[in-house]
Amino acid sequence: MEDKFLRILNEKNVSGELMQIQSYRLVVNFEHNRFKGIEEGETSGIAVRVKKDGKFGFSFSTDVTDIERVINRALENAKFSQEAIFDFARNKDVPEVFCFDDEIVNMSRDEIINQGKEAIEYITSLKSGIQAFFSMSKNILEEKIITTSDFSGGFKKSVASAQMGGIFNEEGNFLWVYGSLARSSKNLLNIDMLKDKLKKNLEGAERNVKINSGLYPVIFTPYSSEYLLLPFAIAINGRNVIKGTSVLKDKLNETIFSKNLTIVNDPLMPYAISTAPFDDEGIPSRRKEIISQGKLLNYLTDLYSAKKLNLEPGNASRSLSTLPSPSPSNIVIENGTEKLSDMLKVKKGIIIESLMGVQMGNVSGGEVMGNIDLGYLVENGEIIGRIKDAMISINIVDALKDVVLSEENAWTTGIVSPYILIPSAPISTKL
Amino acid sequence: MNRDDIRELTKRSDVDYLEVRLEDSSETSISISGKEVETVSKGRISGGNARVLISGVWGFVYFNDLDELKAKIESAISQAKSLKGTVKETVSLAPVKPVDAVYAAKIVKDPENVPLKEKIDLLMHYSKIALNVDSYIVNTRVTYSEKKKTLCFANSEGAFVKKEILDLGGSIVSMSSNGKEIQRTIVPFGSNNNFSAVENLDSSVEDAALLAVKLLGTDTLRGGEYPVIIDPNLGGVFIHEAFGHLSEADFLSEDPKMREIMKIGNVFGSEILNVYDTGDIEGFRGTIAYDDEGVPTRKVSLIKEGVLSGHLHTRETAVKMNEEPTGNGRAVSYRFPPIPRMRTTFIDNGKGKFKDFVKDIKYGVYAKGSFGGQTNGELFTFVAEYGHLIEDGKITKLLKNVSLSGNVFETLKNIVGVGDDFTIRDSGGGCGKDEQFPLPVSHGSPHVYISKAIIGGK
Repeated sequence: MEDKFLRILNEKNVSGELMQIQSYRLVVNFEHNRFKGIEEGETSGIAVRVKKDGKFGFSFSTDVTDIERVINRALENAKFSQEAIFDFARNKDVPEVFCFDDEIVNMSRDEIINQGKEAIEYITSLKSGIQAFFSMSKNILEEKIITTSDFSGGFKKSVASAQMGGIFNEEGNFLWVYGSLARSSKNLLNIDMLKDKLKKNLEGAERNVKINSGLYPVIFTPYSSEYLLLPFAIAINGRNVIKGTSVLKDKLNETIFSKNLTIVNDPLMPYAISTAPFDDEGIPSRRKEIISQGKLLNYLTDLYSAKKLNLEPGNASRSLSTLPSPSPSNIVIENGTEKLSDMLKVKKGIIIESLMGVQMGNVSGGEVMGNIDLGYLVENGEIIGRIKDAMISINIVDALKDVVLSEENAWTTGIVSPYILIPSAPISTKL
Repeated sequence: MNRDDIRELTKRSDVDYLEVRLEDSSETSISISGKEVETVSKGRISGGNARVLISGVWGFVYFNDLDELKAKIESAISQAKSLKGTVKETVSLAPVKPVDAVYAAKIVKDPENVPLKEKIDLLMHYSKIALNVDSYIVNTRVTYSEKKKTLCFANSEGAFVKKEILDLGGSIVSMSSNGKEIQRTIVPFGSNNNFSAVENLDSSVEDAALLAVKLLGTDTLRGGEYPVIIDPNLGGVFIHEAFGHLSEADFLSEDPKMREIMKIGNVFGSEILNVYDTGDIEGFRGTIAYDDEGVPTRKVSLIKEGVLSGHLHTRETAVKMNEEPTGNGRAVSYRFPPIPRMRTTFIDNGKGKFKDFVKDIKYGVYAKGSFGGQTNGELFTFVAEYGHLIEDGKITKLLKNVSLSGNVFETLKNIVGVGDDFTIRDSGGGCGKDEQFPLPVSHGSPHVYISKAIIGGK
């Protein structure tokens, strides 16, 4: 296949890039407190980019034998596409990373089913009348990239993931508790961490309390800090910076956030979900400090935006059917020095576990606006109860200027984060 | 592979049920950012699955290579057989008369007959209209996607359905900035049978771009509870999020408490409220003739004059709730089994007048346009494109970042006016549930007057 690709492009005298993907997946599902069934499958595909007459063309297919037609379609599309301002990846040494574990490959179906049974038993023991769900999957992925500029690389990756939770609905009070985790190593998939989360979530939601609209200290947990990272990821996307649609445009080397805040994009983190030796354009992975003690040091870039911004590329991400664009890998928010127990000693604060509707809001504008799906009122270190019918509305540009970080942290699926306290955030509630 | 071969392969007596679905689709997608064509992509996706039910356990196997169908059916069967005895519950499926049908969408203007260059030029034309409106328009994001799919379905009961369908959708987003903030507006489009959905949008795009500029520096409402009028676009998203998802029976059928809450006959609103889900209105992305279990589509009344009147089913959930299948068993692709999903969901016309709703409000909000929403069953939230303040019965100043929230049950009961200006709007993207995204759905509504809802704000 690779030879055929290179030969055809050589004959046509165009440069190009071939990506090949192969994946296997096994999912075991439990719903409504019982084993439901399994899903298993394999997919594969090829995606081709070519550079012809100074323009890029792209095409893909799930039929890997279709290489010639895919190349031809890509060449046809090149007439219309973006100006090719960069070259495809060249041959460079890629770092050694840890993203494959034989123990995931060897996980048996029955072993996963037993984990599921145990998890369902645990969740149903937490609260009577709860509807428990659990699913666990093993995924084996193989990715290869070759270019006419002599890059040739490939890697195998294994991912085990688990999600579990419970639904407890009664007239006038619905409650969902939920947690998920994914790792490239079986031993690091810590189901107990999820169990602990569910237990704490249920305890916190034991009773509902009312609050009034107003300004509150708000604490994001290592699980919910992802909502703050949503507009952040858009703002540090090199393509948005070029287009003027980043709230952090022209802010490089400026201190924009609290000095407590350091945020790193780390594709080298052992056995994390986005770990890989090179990005989806064949650029060797490296750790990138984006925010260092509040100062903006870098943007996330693909080959295109790196060229335009005169930065190093290496953060491209894509699926089979889409073109590469900059995207966060594993994100690490460095710990602070405050003890969580001290952080919780606010006079009257809100802990956010999950939000709804944030991604539909004006995330490009830096807004984190959403309904508090699961959140608690905390007073002087004690969780008083669940708050409902409440919305939070903050903008990261202002809100992250003043934050307090805990010394405790957690590694959730793609993020390592401490607890993040924002001293004053507007909460709207019903009268 | 032809009809007879597929039917032959699905004739099995050693299973409780077996079905196969095969898919062959070609996709064209275009994206433009400002004056640059970022993506022109043509690709092909083909694959299939076999789903089998034995002694209450579902086995499901998906694959890309259609030549492997026979082997994959065997592996799905042996997978389910080996799990025999794992569950005590028996699963049966609601009986449906096996259909033998070929369906092809009645295409009005086929996008395949429009040269690629013409499509790109048209989208670039929109992008330039927006960019030329004002220098505060810093960028545009124009996306277009067109999928032609051939789907084959066959099961062990003798059903065979072949569908040839089109799914077209996208949007033109204008982004404005004054260096301090970023605002955006959207012109969405979509259709299941007509390229014209993306044509003649010049004035809509120009208006939207102007609006994006006007939104810069406008006020955000103080957060709190207000009377709200939502426009038809937002009304459709509201009913999809707030009520449609609750009606999906996989969430209900095995949960006794939920069945009690969602019991037919329960009162959900006043008699002015009528809600439907249907697959049979031609021209929309949520239009389907048969669902992915081979069940013919039918119109389902979900709320009739304020009273709960129906649910959305797969064959499995229908039998559990002792109701008829509705044709809502849908899968986003061959990689997933069908689950209960919406099609075109709408609030039906009422007798109210928009201008009377406005007159009735002393201090409230008129929320317009939609960026989508989310629900957890009881609480929902959706994001309007923008809004206007209503003061003493008059529409006054512009508002940005208008996001509405509430309790589903309370808010449905707080609907005090349903307008007579019903419209259905389509957009790009689709609905997401579990991992299955984006499923093409449509929604519609007239203007709806809600006596109180929470608006997020500073």
